[in-house]
Amino acid sequence: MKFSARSDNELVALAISSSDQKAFTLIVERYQSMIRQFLRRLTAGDYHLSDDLAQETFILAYQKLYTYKAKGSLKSWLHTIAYRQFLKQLKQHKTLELDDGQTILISEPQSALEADLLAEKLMLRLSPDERVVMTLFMSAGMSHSEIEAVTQMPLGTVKSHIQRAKVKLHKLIDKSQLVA
Amino acid sequence: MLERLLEYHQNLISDEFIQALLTRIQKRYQTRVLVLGIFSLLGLAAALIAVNGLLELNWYRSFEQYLTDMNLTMVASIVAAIGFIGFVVWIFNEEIQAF
Repeated sequence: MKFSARSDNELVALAISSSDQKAFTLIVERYQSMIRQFLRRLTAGDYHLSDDLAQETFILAYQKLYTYKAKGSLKSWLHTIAYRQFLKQLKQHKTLELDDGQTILISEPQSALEADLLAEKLMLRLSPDERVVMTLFMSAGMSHSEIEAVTQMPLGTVKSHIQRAKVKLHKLIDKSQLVA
Repeated sequence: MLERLLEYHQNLISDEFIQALLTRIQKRYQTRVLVLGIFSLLGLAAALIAVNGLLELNWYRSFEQYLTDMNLTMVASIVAAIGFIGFVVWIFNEEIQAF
């Protein structure tokens, strides 16, 4: 069976049992985009910091791979590690603050890059908790219960963060359309 | 519209990212081996010094000297007390275990 055709759990088992890093490399290939994008949203477009946190996430995943339980998905497990790395960074540096001053003009993005840049800018208007919940829900496509497991926030809090963030962003979009 | 705005638009696949990650993992591993190696050597050195110290000490003679310096009655009392405590523990072993 080809390596790339294997399931996440099979790859994890192979990465733990075999000494070569091929299986782990494939896990990174599979999830690097998702985790890097997730951290880009959380840091509201700080690419250097987000890539550094993404690397730390995968290093920790490599070291703790044997603790991974196949009950949840590998996607959720990696997002949990990434979110904890982000919280650690937030605690140490407290550089991620809200930016209410800038006007964000929302126009139709011309490329995927522009669309992501706009989404990252929008994150500046949300609190870190709202950013993580909103990104996991809207961008990573997780359910409320999956978000609850990743963030360890109560289900009610998850839902209220999503609601509050939606209201904030809708207001921003409406305001921008008025300006335009 | 919000869903469309917030979805991931790019697919960030980069070999550089993976290479940098593997290099970092390798470096961490080497650092860990180095730190463990240094502390193992320090432990070995401490153990050698301790063994050497024990070999130089004539512990049997020291113990004999210690006994002669002490009052023999005192030693006998201590041994008797320890023996008695041992006996009581042995007798009430089951009760002690039950608690």
